[in-house]
Parts: sequence; C-alpha cells; structure tokens
Amino acid sequence: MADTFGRFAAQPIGPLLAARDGGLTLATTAAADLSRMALSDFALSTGTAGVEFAVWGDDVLAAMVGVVSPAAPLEAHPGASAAGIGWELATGRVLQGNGAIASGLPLAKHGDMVGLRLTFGSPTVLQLYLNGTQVHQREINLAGPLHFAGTLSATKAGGLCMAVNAGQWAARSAAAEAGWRLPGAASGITRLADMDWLTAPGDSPANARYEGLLADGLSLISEINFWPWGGDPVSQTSAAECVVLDADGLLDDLALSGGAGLPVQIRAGALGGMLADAADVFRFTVDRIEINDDGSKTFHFRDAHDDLDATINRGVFLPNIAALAWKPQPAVIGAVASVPAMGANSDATAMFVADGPIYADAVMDRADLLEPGTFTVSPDGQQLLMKSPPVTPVVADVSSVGPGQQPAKLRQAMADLMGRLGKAAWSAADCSAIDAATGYAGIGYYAGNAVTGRDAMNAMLPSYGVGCYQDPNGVLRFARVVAPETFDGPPAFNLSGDDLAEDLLAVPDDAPNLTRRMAYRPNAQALAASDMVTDVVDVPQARRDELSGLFRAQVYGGAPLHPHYRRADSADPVISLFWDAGDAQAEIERVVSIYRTQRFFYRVSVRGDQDLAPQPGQVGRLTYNRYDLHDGKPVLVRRVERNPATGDVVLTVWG
Amino acid sequence: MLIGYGIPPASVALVGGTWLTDDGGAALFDGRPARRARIARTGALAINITLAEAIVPGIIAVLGLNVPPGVLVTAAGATATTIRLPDGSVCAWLFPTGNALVSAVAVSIATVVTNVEVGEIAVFSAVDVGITDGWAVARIDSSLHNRTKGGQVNTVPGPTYRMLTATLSGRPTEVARKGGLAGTDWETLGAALAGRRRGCVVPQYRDMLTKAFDPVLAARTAMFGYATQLPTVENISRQYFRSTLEFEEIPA
Repeated sequence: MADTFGRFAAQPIGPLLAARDGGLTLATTAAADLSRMALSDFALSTGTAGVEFAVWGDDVLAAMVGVVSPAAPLEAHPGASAAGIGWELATGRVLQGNGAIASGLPLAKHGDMVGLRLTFGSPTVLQLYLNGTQVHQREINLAGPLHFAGTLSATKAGGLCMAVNAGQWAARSAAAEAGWRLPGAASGITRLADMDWLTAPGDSPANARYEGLLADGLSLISEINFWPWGGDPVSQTSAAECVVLDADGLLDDLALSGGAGLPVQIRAGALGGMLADAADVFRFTVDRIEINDDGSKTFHFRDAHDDLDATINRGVFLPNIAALAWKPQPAVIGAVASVPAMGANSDATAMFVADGPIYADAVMDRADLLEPGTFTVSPDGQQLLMKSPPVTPVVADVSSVGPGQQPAKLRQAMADLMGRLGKAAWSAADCSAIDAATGYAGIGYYAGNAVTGRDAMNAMLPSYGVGCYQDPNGVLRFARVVAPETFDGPPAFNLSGDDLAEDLLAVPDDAPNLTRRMAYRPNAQALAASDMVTDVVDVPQARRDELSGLFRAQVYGGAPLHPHYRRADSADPVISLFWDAGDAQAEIERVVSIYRTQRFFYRVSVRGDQDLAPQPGQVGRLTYNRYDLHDGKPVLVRRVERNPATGDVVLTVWG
Repeated sequence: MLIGYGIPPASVALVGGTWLTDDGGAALFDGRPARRARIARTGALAINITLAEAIVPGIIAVLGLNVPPGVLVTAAGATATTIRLPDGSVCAWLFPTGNALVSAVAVSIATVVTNVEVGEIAVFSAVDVGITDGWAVARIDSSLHNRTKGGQVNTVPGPTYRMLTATLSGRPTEVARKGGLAGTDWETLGAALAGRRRGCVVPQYRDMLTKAFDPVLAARTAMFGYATQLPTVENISRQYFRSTLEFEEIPA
C-alpha cells in the first residue's frame, strides 16, 4: 500500500512562515529572523525515521532544521527550548535550550542536502548528514513523539526556501532512505483454507487456525507475451479469484475495509503435515473483496508486483528552476541517443540531463557536434556544463553505464530499474542467463516523463524477446521465447490426447506484429528540421535523417519466412532499444528464423491433476491424434490457468 | 430411532488443561466437527459446559478426537469409550439415562495424550421415534472424479459423509402435532432441527435379540449433522400420520 510521507504542516506554523506546495517547501512571507519554526504534519515515536532538506534562495543562508517535541513553542527556533534540538546550518552548531551542544560541524551552502536521522530507543540517537556524509551523531534526551522542524531567516518574502524529502524521492543519505512515513495500521493475518486445519503445536505459527471456508479453491492465471503476438510483455501477468463461504461473517470487517493491496500468500500442504513443509503456490495482493450475499464473498487477487506501477523517476525538479518546476526528472538506463538537455540556468550553460550520473559521449547543439573540451559533465554526473551558452536545442548521446556509449546488459538494466523501485523480488539470475545466451551488448532506455516500472519493462523486454511472469514464491522471473524445438533440456510435461479432459483446440499463430525490420537506437528526442543548423557540411543530410527520425537506423532479417507470414516482409519495423546494430541484426534474424515454419497455439485442458503445474516459458511435449501432433511436438507454455485445489489446468501452448 | 436436538451451550471452562487455540473453546460448539479446538492437557481433563437453558440430556456426542480408541469418556452420569469410525475419525457417544434437568455438563476424557484435540461437543435432548423398515444409510463420496479423453480417471480426493433416509412409523395426531411424544412432537422436532441448529440421529441402537441397549452399535450408527429434509407430517388416514426425514452427516 502507498506510504504517507511527512511534510510541513500548513497549520499550526510559526509566524511569517508558509508551507508551500502542499507542505513540500517552506518559505518566509516577509522579512523574518530565525525565531519561528514549522513542524511536520505528524510526529513519530518508534523505529527509524529520517528526512532531508535543501535550502536555496537569494538571501545568505540562515536556516535551522531539527527535531522537536509537540510541546516546543512555534515562536522560537527548534533549538531554543529544551523540548527540541536544532542544527544551525550556516554556523555548524547544534543547539538545545539555546545552548550549543555541538559545534564545528561543516557549514552547509545553498543547495546542499542536509539530513536528519532518528533511531528511537533508549536513548534515541540523532545522526546528521551533509551531502550524503554523516557529520554528527549523538544520543539525545528527547523521547517520541517527535516532529521534524525547520526555520528560515530572510530579508524579504521568499528570500530563502526550504524543500523537504521525507523519502518520497531519491535519498542522498541514510536519512531520507529511512524516510518519515506514517506507520500503517497493522492488519492482522487472516488464514483461510479449503479444509478446516490447525497447525501443529510444534509448527510456526503453532496452533493457528485455518478456516475451511474456500469454496472451490482458486484459479490462478499467469501468462507471458512475445512482441510478434501483440500485447504487452508485463501487463498484469497473473490474477486469481476465489469464492469464500462466510455465513458466520468472519470476514465482514476485512471486506468492508476494502482490503486492496493486502499481501496474500498461497500454500499447499498435506492435511496431516506441517505448515513449514507446505509448498508455495503463489503470491498475490488483494485487488478487491466482493460481498455476493450473506453466505459468500469473492476475493479478487492481482499480481503481487503492485510496486511495478510506481514511477521509476528518482525525483522531481524543485521550484527553484521555474521552467522545470515539479517536472519529473528524466531517467536514463543504459545507452540512449539524443537525450534532450534542459536549461537549468538563465543562459543554459548548465543543462540538466538525467536523475542519475551519466557519461556523455557526444553532445550536439542544433545537431552540430560540440568539440571536446567545450562541455564537461558536472561532478554529480547529472548536468552538462557548457563553456559558452548554446544556441539550443542541445541533445546528447549518453550512457548510464560507462564511457563510450556503453549499453546496459539486460541484467544491468533490470537491476537499475528494480533499484529505482526498491524491489528485490526479481530474478537477476534469469537476466544473466539471457545475457549469456544472447551475448548482446545491451540496450538503453529514456523516460522524459513520469513512467511506471511496468511501462519501462514493456519497453525494454521486447528487444530481447523476453516475457515476464511470477513464480510460486512471488519472484518475478524472465523467460525468453525460443523456438520450442531448439530447447534441449528435459520437457517440463508430457501430455498426450489421452490425458486431456476435453478436445484440443488449435489456432494458427498469425503473428500480427511480426516484421523483418528491427529499428535500434531510438532517439529520446527527435529533432525537427528547424532544430538543426543549416550547415550541410557539418551536419550532412544522412545525419539529419538519423537525428530527425524516431530511431537512428534499422536492420533487416533476411532469413526465409513461412509464406503464412509474408505480410512481415513489408510491415513497419519493431522498435528495439539496442545500441549496437549487431545486436538488433542477431535478434531479428532469430525471430525471423522462429517463423521459418508456421506456428500454432494449442489450448489443452486437464482436470483433476493437482500435480501438473507448468510455468509460462517452460517447454513440454504434446501428442494428439490430429493437427500434425501424431508424433509429439515440443511446445512452449504461453498461458497457464490453474486451480491447485481442483486440479483443473488449462494451458495455452505454442509451437 | 433416537433423534437428538438442542441449542448450543452458553459457555465452557477447562479443568486440567489450557486452550492452545486462541479462540478458546468456541470451536467445540460451531457445528463443524472437523474444526477442532486444541487443549494442552496438564492433568485429568474435564470440559465443563454451561448450557444456555436447562435440559434433560439424552445424547452427548464428543466428535473429532485425536485420542486413540478405547479411552473412557464420562459426562452427565454416562460413560462410553471412544471408537474409531470407518472414515477414520475417533468419537464417543454417550447416552445418559437421568431424567433431571441439568444446566451444566462436565465431559471428562481419561486420556494421557498431551495435546488433546476435540472437534465438537454436542449436548442434545433426545426423543425416541419409531421408523419403518426400509430406512437407508448411504455413504457419499465428495471426491471429484474426472475422466480423461483416454478413459482414465483423475481423482481429487475429498471426505466422505453419510446420509440417512427414513420414514417415521404411522402415529396419531398427538404424536404428530399435539405434544404426545415425550413432551414434544414431529412438528416441534422439525423446527428444533431447522436453520443453523445441529442435531443427531441414531437409527439403530438395540441388540436385535435381547432388545438391550448396545452402546457400540449406537455409536456406529449415530450421525451428527443437519436435516436436509425436516420431518414431514403426511396424513395416512383420518388422524394417523407418517413422516419422512432426510439427514446428512457432518464428518469429523
């Protein structure tokens, strides 16, 4: 569930201070001295909490940040009373009860990131950070609840501004990593099963009751996708629903609370066995709970990977650059062509590129390549510093991985993406295996707007022909679609017509999106003709075409295709994120060679088999007395619908 | 045939043990013998039940036990030993003979098992009704069998339960609807078995030759459950009536 982050409260607030932008920034409303303060909208008293501040403005820096008890007076600075501790940023002193309890800390300047981190306990520990480095640590005599507090001194309204990051944006230090989050209401665990079951006295948890209320077990759906088939590779990859008998109203409170976002773990075990031995079946989050009538409810579950819907952008621009205020900072993963550089000062000699450090290989001002030495990358790696003001627009070929336009391997790209989402439940080993199997140099991805993790994955994965699914432990797994006959491991299942509950259905794979063309190096920003210099010697027509298209170039897969797919000869290119032409060429040749023969989808259903649990992407063997399946055919699992309780399995396989 | 009916108890207390299940003894009276309560036994175990109103207990069922067969169970002056039913569950059925109204029943289980599990304890008033020849008990298998295209069968195993169909012997109006059946009658009995209330039937409990009460036979045929068809009142002629009844077991 979404976190609630702390911000400056609009009320109560000290005189001549105003919490702006919904409490994310603080400013003075007139000339003011430090004897006032603004508090966070909620106080915390347990765990670890932290928050970061940045101060900017025309006035000389005179600001304090600190932590205070709710009783501290708002008409004084945070360190003025015994009920608070304040860090005077410009003098490097820490004050409590108006006396310095520490001094000689490094002095903060405009734009520096200062952080406070509290570890509640006895005693509570306060750590202070400046630009990511801890500058002070002390045990404090204040107990929770504590607010964070800030104050500014200015010669005029808005002479200084302070912004607060309570963990909603990228952290500079351990302070904002801890975050200032409203603790969620702890919800109890609800245990349900399809039989009444008590865990054994020696189990963990012991003597826990599983209410035997599930009516028909639950049906799980998981699926992968491949770009020639159409559709997104990581749209909601799994879902489930189940009916719960609840005549006694045990789950009424849960249903009325909505329950959305609650984590769900599903396990299967023996009635006489231990919970510890139960096998993981799936993980979900509750989507919604429907009350059907007094006697039953329907639980709808969705993908446990809810957090893929969070934005990957690490932060937003603060209002100190009016033109960029509150825009999400662009994300660069891997090697990207023509990334727009955004003017960060009045003459555009400082230009902002990305939310993380980048290596700039080629910088172009109106498409004209800048000479080396006329620009440098700023120390934090996020900005380009120009020797002289550019004419603009400036675009740059940049890489987040290394110099020389190094693209990101699939594993690097996914690690970057998952790191942005703070997500650990994904299989790096799968990505490494795909990197090793393909040998591709890698890809690059650019998001100029706020983009969700799911959208970013939908953009990246098709380059490799990779689909994504969730395994029984809830880990996000990556499976590459390969021609099933090239798979040389043991088959995951071996089904014949005799095993099926219903007739097999065969559907030709029309591959509506299949094409022989693959574009690579997409331009983050395509330049218009009027964005380029008129000099055709420096910027010849071929270069103009590269820069003005959606992508720099494309490759053509010339291998034979089955006549069923002749439409692919003239279809529009699929846009990959590869940087190297060789990668794109190898991948399109691979995909075209998959369609050397006509492909089919087969839908098979098995009933009452509780052991058949194939995963998407696995290759098994299918035999049937029609549709050229007499001799058996290796097939790849595209979609699994399965009910572990009733053993009903419906597979859509491809081969 | 004996029919047991009644109301759930008001409260329960333990002697010689503590509850391991955090809902205490509530699972003993939920009408689900498979939903067990677990007790950490510390001494001679007794489960003291306070009834919501005073009744003359006629049948006491102790179902879904994890103790072995042959353990002595005592309650309301009656004793019985636990037996293992064909479905594998262990239970004890007690048939007290007293005529006094009681409002509390102490069920003691003379076991040495450390963690005692009890699925259900039911204290019923009982009434003896005559049934005609031809009554039937069928065992129903809730397993799901699915035949493949190759003719083979995939089975998802499920528990079994018993179903009784019986016809009550012809009786005059007094027994059908005028309280002539030991203070109750068929219609009152029907209402007492309706809704969420549980009941029990014991279709066979006497030795055929001696007509003596046979506690082992009674425990084998006794079924805890609910009526899928409440006793009907069907007119035979003039003031004589018969009744049909269908009853399904809730297995432990």
